[in-house]
Amino acid sequence: MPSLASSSPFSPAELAYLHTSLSSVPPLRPDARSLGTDFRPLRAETGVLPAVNGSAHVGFSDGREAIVGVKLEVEKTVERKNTGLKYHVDSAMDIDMDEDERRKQAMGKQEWVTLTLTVPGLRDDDPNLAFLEEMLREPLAVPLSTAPQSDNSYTMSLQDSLVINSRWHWHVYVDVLLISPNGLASYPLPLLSMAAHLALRDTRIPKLKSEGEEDPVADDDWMASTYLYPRKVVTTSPRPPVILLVLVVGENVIFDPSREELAVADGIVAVSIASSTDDDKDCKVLAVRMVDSPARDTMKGIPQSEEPQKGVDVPGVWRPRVGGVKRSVLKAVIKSVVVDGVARDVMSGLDGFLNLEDGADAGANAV
Amino acid sequence: MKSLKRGLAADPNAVNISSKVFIRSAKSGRVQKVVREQYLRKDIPCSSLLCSACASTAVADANGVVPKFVLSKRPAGTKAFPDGHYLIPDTNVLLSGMDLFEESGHFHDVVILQTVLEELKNRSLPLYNRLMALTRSEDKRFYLFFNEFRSDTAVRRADGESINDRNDRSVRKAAAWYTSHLARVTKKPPVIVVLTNDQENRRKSKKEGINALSLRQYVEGLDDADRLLDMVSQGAEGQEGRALQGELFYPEYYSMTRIMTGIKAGTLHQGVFNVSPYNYLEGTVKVPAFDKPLLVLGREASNRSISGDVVVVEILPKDQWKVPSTQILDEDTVNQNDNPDNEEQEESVITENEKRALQEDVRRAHSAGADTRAQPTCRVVGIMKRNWRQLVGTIDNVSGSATGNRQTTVFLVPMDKRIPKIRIRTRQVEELIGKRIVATIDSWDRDTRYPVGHYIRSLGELETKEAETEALLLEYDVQYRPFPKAVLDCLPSEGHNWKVPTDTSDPGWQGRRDLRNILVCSIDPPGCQDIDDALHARPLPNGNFEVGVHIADVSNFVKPNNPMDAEASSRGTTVYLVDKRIDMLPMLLGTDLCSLKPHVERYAFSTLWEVTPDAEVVSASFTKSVIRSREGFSYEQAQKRIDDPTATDELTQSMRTLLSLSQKLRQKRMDAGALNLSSPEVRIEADNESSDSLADVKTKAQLATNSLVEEFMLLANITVARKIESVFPQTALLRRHASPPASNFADLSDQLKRMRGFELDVSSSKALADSLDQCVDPTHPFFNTLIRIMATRCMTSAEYFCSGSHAAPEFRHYGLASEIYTHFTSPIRRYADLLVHRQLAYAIGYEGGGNEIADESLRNKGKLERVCQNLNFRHRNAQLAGRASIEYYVGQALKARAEKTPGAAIDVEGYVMRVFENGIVVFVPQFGIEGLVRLEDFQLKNDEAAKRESIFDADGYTLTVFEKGREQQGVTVELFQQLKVRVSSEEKSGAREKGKRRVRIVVLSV
Repeated sequence: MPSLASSSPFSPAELAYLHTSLSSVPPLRPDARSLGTDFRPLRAETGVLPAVNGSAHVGFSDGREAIVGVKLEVEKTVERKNTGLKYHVDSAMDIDMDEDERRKQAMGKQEWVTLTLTVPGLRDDDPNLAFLEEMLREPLAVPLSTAPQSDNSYTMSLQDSLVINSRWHWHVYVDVLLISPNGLASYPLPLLSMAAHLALRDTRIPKLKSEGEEDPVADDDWMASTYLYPRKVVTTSPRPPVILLVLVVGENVIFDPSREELAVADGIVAVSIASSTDDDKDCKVLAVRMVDSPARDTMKGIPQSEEPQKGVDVPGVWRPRVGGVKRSVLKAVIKSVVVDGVARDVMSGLDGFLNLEDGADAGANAV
Repeated sequence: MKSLKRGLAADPNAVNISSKVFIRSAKSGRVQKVVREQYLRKDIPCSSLLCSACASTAVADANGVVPKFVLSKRPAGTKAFPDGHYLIPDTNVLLSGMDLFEESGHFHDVVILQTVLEELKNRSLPLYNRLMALTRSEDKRFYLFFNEFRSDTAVRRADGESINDRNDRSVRKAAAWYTSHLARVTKKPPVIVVLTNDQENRRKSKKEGINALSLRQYVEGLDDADRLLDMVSQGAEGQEGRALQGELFYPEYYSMTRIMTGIKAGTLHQGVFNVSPYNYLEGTVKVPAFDKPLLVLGREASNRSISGDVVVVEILPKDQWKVPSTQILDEDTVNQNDNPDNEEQEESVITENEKRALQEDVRRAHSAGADTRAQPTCRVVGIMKRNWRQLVGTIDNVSGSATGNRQTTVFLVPMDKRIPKIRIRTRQVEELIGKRIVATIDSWDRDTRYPVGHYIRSLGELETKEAETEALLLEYDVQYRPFPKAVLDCLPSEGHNWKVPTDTSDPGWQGRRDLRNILVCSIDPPGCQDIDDALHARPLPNGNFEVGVHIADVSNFVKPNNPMDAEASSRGTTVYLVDKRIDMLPMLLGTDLCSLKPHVERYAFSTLWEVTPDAEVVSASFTKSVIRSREGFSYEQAQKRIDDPTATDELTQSMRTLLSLSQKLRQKRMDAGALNLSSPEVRIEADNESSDSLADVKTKAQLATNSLVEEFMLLANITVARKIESVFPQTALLRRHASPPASNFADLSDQLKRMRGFELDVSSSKALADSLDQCVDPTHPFFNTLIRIMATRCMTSAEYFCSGSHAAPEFRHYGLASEIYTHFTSPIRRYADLLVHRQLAYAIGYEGGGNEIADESLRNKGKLERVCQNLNFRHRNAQLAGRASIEYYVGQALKARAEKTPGAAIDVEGYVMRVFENGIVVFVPQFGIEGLVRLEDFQLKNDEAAKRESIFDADGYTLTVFEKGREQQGVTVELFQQLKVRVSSEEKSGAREKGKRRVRIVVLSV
């Protein structure tokens, strides 16, 4: 992904200072967060838009906000002709046929999930916007179980739960609105993904009165609808993925970077995490993507004393970042996400928020 | 971050906003969440005259009028509530007991909650309309309280609460509010009584200190309890915990979603269920997918559907297809114990594909026609719409043994043969036996063999003229109540003294041509009072003739969208019974102000043609006019006048011109392929009841003057139809007669070929007309008419429609062989003509008398289509009512004759119209009646009163009747055969026949 910042608001001296403090061990973060894994507080609410199936409003403490609405529509499934191309099954496996068949039928398609991002001031065919949309959409629609699993614990990905019957399915439209003074330059990926996550978990599917292969007809009672992602949270129950933005400065791995921190990143990694289907692991990594750091496009600093020498690094003097991230550092990123439990913390934090929200709703209704 | 969420406690406006969330599933398959916000108010009044607080805050409506308070100061008391009470019914009570609420003696001061009204609207539109009528009636004092909009009574649905529970809660909340509200404003407030049949709701009410009763409990406390209790629906009791009893007689319906999917996929079909008048176990369903109706055989297949219901059917597998039954089956005669539908059909499992293949087979079987006799059968799997109405019938006196004042269950046998018996419970059996009774069907569950209903009211003794006439009008849904005051208020204030203004500068003259100097006359049946039309003809200098048809200008008196217009629109047509006329318009208009009476000046709407002596139309024009009819002839008088060689005055000359032109017009029409159809019509001249009334039964005589009038009316209608169609391409009100599919004639064609060797060519109306002309039997002159009657029955019926709803080629009127047709010439007795008048007035740019407001409704296609639908329905019913009236009259006349001269039998000619396995249908032209002749009614030689048997030849259409073991002595009859029959009116044992005075026909030995 290309860098999104047009120009950095920081002078080379500031950048050098920030970089030095962040690369010390432990990192000294400009907003005084003590750990690299510390997150800033955020505010969120769900169910803000009455006319959609699910919605969320998330605000980060730096003033950026995102509003997400999720709508479901019934759509006719286009017959797939290639279903006939089944892998050869010998007679010994015949017993499993039914199970396989059912699974095959229950497979949804990626195209059933549409995500659009609106950023005021940007054209909707802006390449960066399109890229960001796809980055947000892709982990949502990733088939969780491409290969048949050995055990029976078969979890469905989002699109699989959209199947109504062989002729009909739901189409999910996720509409995301970003409200930010800096537009895309603020690296809004984690904000947007978290808002989309909450909106999807707030999403209800109308309960259908029709059964089996009938044309879908919904129960007119909205209260009878069910959550797209079941609310009874078990650790293994499926949840929409969340994308974390991880900053690498020197050997340090820093989560939830602020604007100042981003400006001096050696590398930025976007990690999509999803709740794991295995019992022993909490979360798993769906995708890791490198994002260009704004530190690449900065002016270099000039040492006060002497002429700058080509290729010689003067400590304390800013030098635009070049090159990638070391393999070991990337490993450390994944480790802190999966093993050290940042992903788990994020997920449980979101779970906790939704529980609170449920409680508040019940309280409001009791009044 | 500022919260965007609404309705939080922090929001000061939250208490004033409520919202309603529901899901709408559109026909297209869209599933949509809908949110409606409701803004709560505090100024919705309780509408009790006791309350001064509400009176001061109540707001005025858009017209600045504060609605009058409805609920009485001194409401009626009952035993339980001596201080008076207000009622708040819930939805189920209204659903099951609407008849009770319409009682004039009870159920006053009722608060109808908005919650209840909306739920009722979703459940039953007819009941909703009846309730709305009640809220408008002043003396019933029904108040529609918008509880959902008043902040004190609005109820927000709690988490996990079902909609029903929420609605029940809102009823209770409204009741509680009324109680406390009235207690605050008066010292001795009336009791608020909630009526609910739901036990749980009553329990909760009790806990909350609200008076709640079931409908039954409440009615028991009223004076007239016995009669009223009969009117409590059976369903209401059913709700009080009747577990589904063991035996289920009928299969379950498919789920609505399955039905919708099936209809879309074309494997299920929707249509109106019709029961054969000859066999109550055989029904047909006409579905759009196939030319011919599908058969439904047996009770199980018809699965609780009643004639008239819109049902969804599934085609049965081919091995269950059957030949339509050749038996006459009457519910009365079939023993109740041996159930004729015992041939249990095994539910075979068939796949979707097979079902689809089946549809093809149906098409093939239909097109194959007579080759394969087995017809596709189907079974009912769901009901789209119940068309249950109030039914008139009699109590089957054998079914219930009267035991004092106890409630007994009896069967009510409807007059309409196609409707099964209805189980009703009553406490007044003894009073009801021998009476005409109105009842309604409440429900038909899987565990009852017959539908369950309840009593509404009694019309009076059987066979009394009043009861029978009212029964007839009810049966055919004819609105016969006197015109309400609002309608009469629309009449001109001058009453009978109204005259065409003498001053031609009067606004009434605006845009009118003065045709008073033209010699106009009218020709009508004798004694006609509502004269719609008048004619004239005069020579023009160029040798051509000017012909004018002048139609009563009803639209001048009936302005669009006023109460009189609405009433006329809903009545649709005037209904003519033998001894009674139910007018569409008030008498003052119909028989006086509009009627083109002779020697009086009247407003008219004239169509003028220039016609060559060969009856070629040169030009046509339309104008509103003023005419003065010189003479009002009857057909006979006119005929005499024309035939009288001494009469040479101008009027007679013009009539002669008209006659000769009409004959040429007629010939042209016949050449174009117009059909000369016949219906078994007789006229009854019922002036003097004392004389031998049977002599009054006359077959309609056809005079040349009849067809004179007819031809010019047709010409006027066609000319007007062209004009309005050109001005209103989308919304002209036209009349069409669809070409019948050839398959309709298959049976008749086969019968003619086999019996007489005639070929029936049905490729066009011209071909049909020609081949009908060929069907002549020199020995039986009536044979041709008989065939025409039977051919008419094979055709579809003509219908009104809106020009936008069909393509131009479909406008065709098959019977008249005209490209386009409408009704223009009888606005006094047909609403369609009135509308056409308005359209024509607009089309010619007439701007007098409030015509400008008509524009909007003349162009509103949706509205016009609804009007057409109603008109078609009313016309059909008016026809049926007229025929039934004649039938009843003939029966009465026969009875009177038999009483006067007991010995004298009435022996007349009859013709065999249909042959069944166990009887025949005979048509008696003299009385215009047709009747069933059962085996017992054949007169045989050497009758020994033994059991009758018969041999039926389905291909040869013959039936041989003989007594058991004596084949040689049998009588054989065949289709179209002329027979000597003896007609008598006999009271039969069956309750259904009773009072209807079915005519009994006995075939005399040949």
